[in-house]
Order: sequence, then C-alpha cells, then structure tokens
Amino acid sequence: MIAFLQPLALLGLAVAALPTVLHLLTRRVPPTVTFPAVRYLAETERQQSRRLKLRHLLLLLLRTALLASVVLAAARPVVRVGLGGAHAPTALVLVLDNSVSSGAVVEGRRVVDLLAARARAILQRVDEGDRLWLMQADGLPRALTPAEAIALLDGLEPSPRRLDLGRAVRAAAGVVA
Amino acid sequence: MNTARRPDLLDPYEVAQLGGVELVAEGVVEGVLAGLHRSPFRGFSVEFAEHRPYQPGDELRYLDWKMLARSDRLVVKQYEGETNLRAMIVLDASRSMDWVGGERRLTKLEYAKRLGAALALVLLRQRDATGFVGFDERVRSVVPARSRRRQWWTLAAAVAALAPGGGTAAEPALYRVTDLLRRRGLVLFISDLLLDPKLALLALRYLRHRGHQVIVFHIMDPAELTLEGQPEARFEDPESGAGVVARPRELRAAYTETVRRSIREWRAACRSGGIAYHHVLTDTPFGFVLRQAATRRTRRG
Repeated sequence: MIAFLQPLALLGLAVAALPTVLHLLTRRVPPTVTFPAVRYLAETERQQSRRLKLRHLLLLLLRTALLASVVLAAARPVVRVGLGGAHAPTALVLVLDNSVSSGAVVEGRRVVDLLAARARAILQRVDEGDRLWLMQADGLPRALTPAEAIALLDGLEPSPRRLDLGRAVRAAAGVVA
Repeated sequence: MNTARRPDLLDPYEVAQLGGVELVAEGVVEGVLAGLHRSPFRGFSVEFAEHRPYQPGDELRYLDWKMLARSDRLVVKQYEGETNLRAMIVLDASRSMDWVGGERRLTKLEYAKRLGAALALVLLRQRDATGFVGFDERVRSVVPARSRRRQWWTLAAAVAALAPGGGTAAEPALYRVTDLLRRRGLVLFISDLLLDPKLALLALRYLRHRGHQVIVFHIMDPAELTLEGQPEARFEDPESGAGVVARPRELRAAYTETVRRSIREWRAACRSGGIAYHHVLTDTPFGFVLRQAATRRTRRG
C-alpha cells in the first residue's frame, strides 16, 4: 500500500487541474479569416478530426499526469509491501524494558521473550538506510547493526536494574535528534 | 533580350501596374509573339483544310511557297480552325475569385480577367470570332462571338467591367455557351473551380460532346496551396459563409495533400473527358500560361 510522508503536499494536486482549467479559460472565439478554399479545408478536417481529437485528449491527459506526478513525488510516497516493504530512512531506538518484572511468566511464556519477539519483528523491517540503537533497562543507547541487535536479543535476560521510562524516552529522543 | 520590356514574362502584379485590362493583354500578347519565331497562332488553328487563291491582304506566312515553286501560283493554306473557329471565354466572377492571399499579388479575379483578355486578344488577332461570358451563380455578362475589329474593345470593356459577384454555379454559363456557339468552337473556361465539380464537369463534358474544344484554366492563389496564418483561426468561405475552425500547424500537411489530390482529380477528370486542363497560380507570368495553352493545343491537333 502507498503512504505519503508529506501528505500536506497532496493539496498541490489541485495543480493537476491546471491544463483543463487553462483549456476551458482560453476557449475564446478564434479570429475569422476569409479563405475561399474552405471546401478543401473542410474535407481535410473531416478526414483528420478523429485523429486530432484523440491527439488533443491524449495531450491533455499527459499534461495532467505530468503535473500530478510532480506533486505526488513532492509528497514523498512510500510503498509498504507486507513487512519487507520500503520506507524512508529512519532513526530507530528500541527501548527494551528488561527489568526484573520482565522475568514474570504470562501464559507460559516469559515477558522478556515476548519483548524479544516483538523487537525481532521490528528489526525485520529495518534496512540498510536506517540507523538503529538499542536501549535496555540500563538506559544506555547502543548503536548496533540489525544483526548485532538480533544476537543481543537472543541472549536477552531480565536485568536487576529498573528502567526509568521517562528518562529512557528522553535519552532516546536525544539520540535520534 | 531585355525582360523589362516583356510584360508576358513579368510578375503579373507588376504587369498589372502598367495599366488596365486591355493594355496588359496587349502588352502580354505582343511579348508572346515577339518571343517566338513562329506564330503561336498556328497552335490555335487546328487542321489544314484547303488551298485558296492568294488575295492582297492575306498574311504572307500562310502562302504555300512549295506550290508557288511548282506551279507559279499564289495560294494560301487555310486551316480548318481558321475557317470556322468561334471561341468563348467563360470567366468565373464569383466572390471566391475576389481574394488574394498575399501582398503584391493580384486577386484571382484580376488575374483571370487579364488572362482572359490576353487569350481573347490572341484569338482575335488570328481572326477567330471571340466572345465572352462572365458568371457567378448566374450569367452576368455576355458578349457574342464576333471577329470584327471593334470586337476587342467591346470584349475588353466587358471583361474590365465584370465585378465580383455572389456564389458559383458554372452550369448556366456553360449551357448558355452551347447556345452561343452553334458551330464547332473553342471554350476557354477560367475559374478557381470552387464549385460543384460534378455539375461543372457534366457541363464541360457536354460542351465537349457537342464538338467544342474545351480548355480549363484552374486559377489558384499560391496561398491556397498551403495553410498559413494564426495558430488557430476560423476559416470562412466568402460565398457560403461556412466556417471551419482549424489550427494550420496541425492540418497543414493533410490540407496540402487534399488540394493536390483535388488538382489531380480535376486533371484526370478533364483528361478522360478530352478536356485540356491547366493549373494556374496567380503569380505565374501571363506569357507562360498563354504559351503553354498554345503548345498543348498544337500537340492535341
């Protein structure tokens, strides 16, 4: 599916109507010229009118499409196909609360494993253009490659430290900025 | 030869500055004659018919010098066309003829008038009885065919007085010509051919069928060959008022092709009907057209 990073730019799509509007506005009455050989002209016109009409229509469509595509490009479209879809380069900080409470077992699974699974799902969508930090309960962001991050997640255990969520988010924001 | 003294070879517009219809015609015809060693009249007198005793006043060039050498008799050759040729100039004066597509050019009508007058003068000089019919949608003026000396002035005055009129319908004029030319004759039809081709061709073929020789002069302004002008314009027919909105740039090529095809069709239709056809642009010197018409007739016999 297609999404836009700058949806406000889509307002510019109104520009695409410009060729049509211009066409309608400039429909003035053309100057009249006296020309005796109109019968030849009329015959030519009759033969060519279908071709010319098609050409005019195609030209109008092309101009409209051109303007529309410029505006759409300015809106920075992103296409997400499933999980592996493309997205704009992102700075991502994963904050994992692996404090003591994450050792709790919920419905037969440890919370910390659930956290790791979520994190892996997110990491799947990280690609080369993105920058990644991982922050655990110690509140220190570490710059990692996705592979390193997955290795780290594999060995994730509850830590005795307590995560101050407010500070962690502030720190993460500082890293991303 | 100094071309400045040859009105037959000059640009028609410049020739027209020299004077009225009859002056131009006279200048042109003089030029055509001066430029040829042999008389173009021969082209207009069709077939050798008989010998006739020489009488003072007969043109010496028709004297049969072989006969003189053999039998010491003065005889002149007579050509059939000379004996009974009666010619009618049929001139289209419809409103479409009153048009000019550029500066320093004659309107089609002004050009056609001078061409018609020059043709009439050539015919009168060879003592062919020559008349004139001017028409638009009906017959506008008629000068019966005569070969008297005064005929040239009558005819030139009628041609000069012809003013552009309304629509075009050649049939009444052409059928009128059949009344005026009882014997075998020559019909010179000068028109821009912006008329009903079927009816006009029918009338021309009918003339041919009656034994007349027919020559069609298709007058066209060079600006009618191509489509020029504003990026977009409404082209209006001066006769019917019908208009077509077109962009010359888009239609130019196809338009030129249509005109050329129409010229080809006229030529083919005329040829199949035994009618001589000349396409004449209004910037062609009159002398070229006259000479072309004369040589064509010689070849046709």
